[in-house]
Amino acid sequence: MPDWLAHVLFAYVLCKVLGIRFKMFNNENTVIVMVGSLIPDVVKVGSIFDLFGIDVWDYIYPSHTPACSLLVAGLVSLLFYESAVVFLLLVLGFTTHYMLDFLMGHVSGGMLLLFPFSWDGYQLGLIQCDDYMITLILMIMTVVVYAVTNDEINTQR
Amino acid sequence: MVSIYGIVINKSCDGFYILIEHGPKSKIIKVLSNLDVDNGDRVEILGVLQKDEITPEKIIVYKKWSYYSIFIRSAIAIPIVVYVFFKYWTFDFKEMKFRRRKNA
Repeated sequence: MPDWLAHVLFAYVLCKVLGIRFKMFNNENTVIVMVGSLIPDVVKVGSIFDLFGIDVWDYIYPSHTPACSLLVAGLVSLLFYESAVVFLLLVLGFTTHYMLDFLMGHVSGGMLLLFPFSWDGYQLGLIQCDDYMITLILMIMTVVVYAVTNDEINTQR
Repeated sequence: MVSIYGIVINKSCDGFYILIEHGPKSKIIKVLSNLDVDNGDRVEILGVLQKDEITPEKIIVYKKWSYYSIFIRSAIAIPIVVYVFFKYWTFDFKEMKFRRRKNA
C-alpha cells in the first residue's frame, strides 16, 4: 500500500478536478471520498493485534478487497442522514485506493480484486509499497490543484 | 516455488537469515543471496525453498527506515482527515447520525 497520506491526497486531487465539471464534488463530499479512500485499510487492524502477539492476518486479509470494502462502505454510510449519496462517495473513495494500490508490485500475487469469486491477484508492479515519491508527487499536485481551484472560486466571487 | 515475507535478523557469509512472523508458527529461514541487506530490513522473496533455505529468483527489499516512514506518513494523514471531516460534518447525538454543517 502507498501510505495513507498518498491515498487521501489522491482522493482530494481527483475530487477537486472532478469538481471543476461536476458541482456535487464540493468540500463536504470531497471529505467523504477522502474517508472512503482509507476504507480498504481496515485490514491494518491486524497491526494492533500484532502488538499483543496475536496473528489475525489470515482472517482479516480478505477485508482488503473491493467486496469487503463495499460492505464497510455500506455500514459506514448508515451513520449519515444522506446514506445513499455518502455510500456512493465512499465507493468512489475506496476505488481511488485500489487504483493506487494497483500500481504496486510484489514478488508474486497482488490484490484480490475479484474476491470472493477468484483468488487471483492483480498488480502492475510499477512502484514499491515504501516508495515515497508517489506521496511527494501527490503533495505537489494537491498544492497546484488547491491553488487553481481556490483561485477559480475567488474569481467567481 | 514459494513466496515469503520476513525481517532480516542476521547475516552470514553466503546470505542472511529472515524471521517469518506467523504467531506461534514463526520460522527462521536462510536466504542464499549476496544482496546487501541490514538487520531490520524487510524482504519479500519468491524462490525455491529446501530445508529452511531459500534460493531466491526475485527479491524486494524494504529498508528499515523506509518501511517505518510509511507509518509516519500515514499517521500524518489521520489528523488531517479528522480535522477536515469535522469541519464540514457534525454528529447529531439525538439521531446518532452525521449531518452537514450548515455554515461550513
